Amino acid sequence: MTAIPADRKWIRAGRSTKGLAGVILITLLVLAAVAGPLLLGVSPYEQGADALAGPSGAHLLGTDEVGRDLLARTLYGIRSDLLICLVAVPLAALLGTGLGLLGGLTRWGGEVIQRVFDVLLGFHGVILGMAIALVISPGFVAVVTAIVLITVPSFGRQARAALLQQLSREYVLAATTVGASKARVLGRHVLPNVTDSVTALFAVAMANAVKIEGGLSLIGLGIQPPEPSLGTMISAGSRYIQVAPQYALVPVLLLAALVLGLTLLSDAINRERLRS
Amino acid sequence: MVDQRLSRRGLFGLAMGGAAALAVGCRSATQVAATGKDITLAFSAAPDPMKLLRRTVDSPVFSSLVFDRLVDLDKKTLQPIPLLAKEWEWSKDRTSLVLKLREGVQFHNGRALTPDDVIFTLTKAQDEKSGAQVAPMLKRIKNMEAGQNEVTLTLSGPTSNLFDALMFVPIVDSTTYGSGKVIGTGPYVWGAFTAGTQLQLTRNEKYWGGSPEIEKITIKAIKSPQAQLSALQSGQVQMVGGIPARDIKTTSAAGKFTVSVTRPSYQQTYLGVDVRTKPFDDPKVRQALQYAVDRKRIADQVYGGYAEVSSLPWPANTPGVTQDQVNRYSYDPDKARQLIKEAGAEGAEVTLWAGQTPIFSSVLDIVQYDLEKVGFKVVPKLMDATEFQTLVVNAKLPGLNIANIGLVSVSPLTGISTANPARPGENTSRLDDKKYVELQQAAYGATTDVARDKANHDLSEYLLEQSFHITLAQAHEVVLWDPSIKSADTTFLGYLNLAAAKRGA
Amino acid sequence: MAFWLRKALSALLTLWISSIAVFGLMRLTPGDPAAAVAGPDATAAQVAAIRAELMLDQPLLTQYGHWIGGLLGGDPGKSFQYNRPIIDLLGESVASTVQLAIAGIIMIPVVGLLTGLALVSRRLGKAADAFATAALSLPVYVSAVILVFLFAVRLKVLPATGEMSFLEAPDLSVQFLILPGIALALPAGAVLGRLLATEIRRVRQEEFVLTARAKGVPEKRISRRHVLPSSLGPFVVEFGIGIGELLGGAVIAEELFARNGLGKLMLDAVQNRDYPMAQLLLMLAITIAVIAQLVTEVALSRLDPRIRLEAAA
Repeated sequence: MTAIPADRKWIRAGRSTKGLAGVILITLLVLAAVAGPLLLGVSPYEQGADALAGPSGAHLLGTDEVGRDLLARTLYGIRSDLLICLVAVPLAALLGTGLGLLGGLTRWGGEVIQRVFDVLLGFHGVILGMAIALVISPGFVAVVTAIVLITVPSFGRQARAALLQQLSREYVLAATTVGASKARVLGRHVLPNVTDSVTALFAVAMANAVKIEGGLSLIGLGIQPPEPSLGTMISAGSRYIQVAPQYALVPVLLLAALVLGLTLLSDAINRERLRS
Repeated sequence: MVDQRLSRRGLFGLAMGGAAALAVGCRSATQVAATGKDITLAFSAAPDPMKLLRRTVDSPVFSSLVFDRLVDLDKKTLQPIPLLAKEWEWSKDRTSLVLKLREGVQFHNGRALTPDDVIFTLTKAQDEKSGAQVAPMLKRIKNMEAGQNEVTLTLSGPTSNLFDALMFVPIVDSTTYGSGKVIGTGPYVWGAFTAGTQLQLTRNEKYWGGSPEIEKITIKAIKSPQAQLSALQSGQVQMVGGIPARDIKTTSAAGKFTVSVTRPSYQQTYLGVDVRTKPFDDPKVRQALQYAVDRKRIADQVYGGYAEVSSLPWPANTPGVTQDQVNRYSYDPDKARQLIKEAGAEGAEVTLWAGQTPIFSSVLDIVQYDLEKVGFKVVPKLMDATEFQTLVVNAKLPGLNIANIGLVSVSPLTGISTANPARPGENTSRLDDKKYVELQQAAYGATTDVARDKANHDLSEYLLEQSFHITLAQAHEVVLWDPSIKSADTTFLGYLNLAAAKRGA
Repeated sequence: MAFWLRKALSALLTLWISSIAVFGLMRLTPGDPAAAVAGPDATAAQVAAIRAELMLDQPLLTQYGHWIGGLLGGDPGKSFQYNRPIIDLLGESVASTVQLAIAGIIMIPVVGLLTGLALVSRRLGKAADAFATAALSLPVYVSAVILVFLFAVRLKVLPATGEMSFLEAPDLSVQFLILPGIALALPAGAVLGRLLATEIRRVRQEEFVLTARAKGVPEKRISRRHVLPSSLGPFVVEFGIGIGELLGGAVIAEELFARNGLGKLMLDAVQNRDYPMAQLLLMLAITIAVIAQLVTEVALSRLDPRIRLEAAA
């Protein structure tokens, strides 16, 4: 019943076909985002007279409505999305787990926190994001805040459920009967299990973060120009889908690959968890 | 297992069959030919019967069909054309005007038009509560007197642009105005109306200008440009008026439909400069902005080429305006950098505000890029339209802002008198200069051609020199017609004229 | 009895807190509704007059009381932006969203059945699994862009965006609904497909099927009479949740496919600071979500009494 260390589980998850596919997809996208712009050497901000041009030697994917290189913008777009994920999801995980544990350990606090989570979950993700982007003006901070608020309840619930489940387990009861202190039991036995179950949520939350970023961008509340993100590229590009289909299509496929990669990975991790 | 597969096949067949029935049995929404006698027009906003005296985005659509104005302006010469006012006569000192009304004009409820209706309407329009943009100009009318089928207007002083103001005012029926009934004297009668959605007009067979050809006009509000386009392509509507100019080229619309441009009127897209924010308190830095922006690229990339490049807010053919003034600031980043260096404002951080629409986002993209090219550090603040609007009203836009206004395409005096951003005395740029007010007063008094030319020239020179209201583009509005519609026209400022319109095969 | 009552009360509490959150949120948002109503060339005095007319100069508590009182009395008030009763405006937009939702709902079982049957088939199993994973995890805008590219840009058989009134031209209206309907139905359809496949596999192993098979009942009859019906239980529950999601997702779908429905109305209302309209629509969205959750919880407790006992403990 002791938890397998999380890192080993991740490695084992990567061995299944689906998990491997996920890892490969994510690695490729990260490489593209990090090394791509360096190899390409074209600025994603440089404008020109040649607007909405088709693919050519100078612009491999063509240009956008103000003559910027679409490939460079798409690569930087992946970078924005990854950055958003890497900031928002750990924040949400910390906050959510903290609140969840607090809710699981104190009765009164638990009620209040549950209620807050219910309200947050009551909002559809996009609607909540819309509200936040209006209060804080749209941009990186608003997108991250929206993702954190949308994601916190799922981490909170997961942490609380895991905690309650562990507390009712025989080994905890046994440990308390043999006289181990409550704090010791929590720290040595319960927390690792909770951490483990929360970690499993990470990949799913990241996939969701990417989706939310795209959704907010579509209604004009995402990352603001001239910074590109996959969502803003899709949003702007879908206006020109008749004349320059690659403008929206390439970011859409990349976003799909990112979401799929994360989903496959999380499926594989979950399967590993169930097995152990 | 064989049986299972059969049932699956059955399901597939059902689904495919359904799809095939749809595809074969019906018209395709991607191409439908237009037929029929009546016409349907689509615009982005619906008519609002509570704001008849205000010129809004939607009013040119129905206003000129249901109502008549006293005069219109000629598209080319900008001289007044008689409508309800048959002829007019100025007093020698140009402080009073006698308007002779057309005889035999009837409202749609059968009542004859009287001088009192004209006085009633103008009095309403003078009150800012009516929302009429020309209220400040109409307030120069101190007294109105009804005569035998004529109205005498007495002015507080010479008012060179009085006809500009009169052109905006639809004459309403004094007995029903404000009751929710919409009754005018125009070629079409207001009919079934679903607020916010649809309006039906039937022709006025007793119209003083002769009964129009088209019997019934339906005006639909379709907000999104894509939806407008698909309605046009499928033959549901025969005219659309809300498609951004740059989308004309990028959609399949260009070849199939008649593109008409509401020339000479346009929306002026401008860069507003708050003159109390450093470094823009220095006119040299403001002039540098003029050289820094690439207007040609804005016209091409944002407005699909349907825009004029000019350094002035008003049309290039405004009497008294010289070609040198129109082209004063051509794109010249080196000169901009030099001016900024002279003013010691290199590397200054500037905030660039704009409301969020696809159009303004693109303008902001280009302006930000251009300003960074000449060495500014730009902080873009793209916010939703309402938040931006609130800041405009309260003149709280420290730095630069991008927006547009419509009435400057009429004349310099009317433009600066009706628009917040450039109004002498109180404006969003927070420019408080006596000289500007004096120039406005001089323009009001400029009643001869020579004086008017000089006033226009002087106002242009002032704006160019002060550079607090920088023209980025004069963007024409574009209307798409189904080719089956013949002889449809828009008059000055985009008012619809369907008196001679026909619907052919 | 006590269980669902307690759940219902807790749902009401959630709604009440949400109403305060929604009300507060709109007021926290920078931007003056009166400025939006007044239009771009209004003077500060005109804006102030409009603010008084809209009761925006009243204390917040009065405004909140007025709004809640109206809501409970069945009158959500007038829209700032259009100066018309909100009920009328809702009526006009609701048709578009309902059509979209119906299109989605019709497509969900279609996608679900096809996916489910493909999943249990030997030949299509692998491909169907990949499809289901993708359909399940991808957001609606991804499938929308791909569908539009394939069917509107490439094949040119369906219109890319826009809509048409169903009453005026049903045949055309349906064509505008196919692509958004599929895009909306994909995730829920994939869930259904997976469930269906699992259920079919499970039920095939169950005793009554084995008995029937042993008794010599034809295979076709077994799957139609025994396997499918008992697989449909969870299918129906998921279907309900799918509908709730469908309405929430309308904002994005309507933006992408340029439809004027409730989602678009809400976005416009929020952007124009049309407080009464935005508040009502936000509350509507939350209410739907809360009811969907309540129904699921109650339904699950029926299926599994342990949940009821656990909650009571």
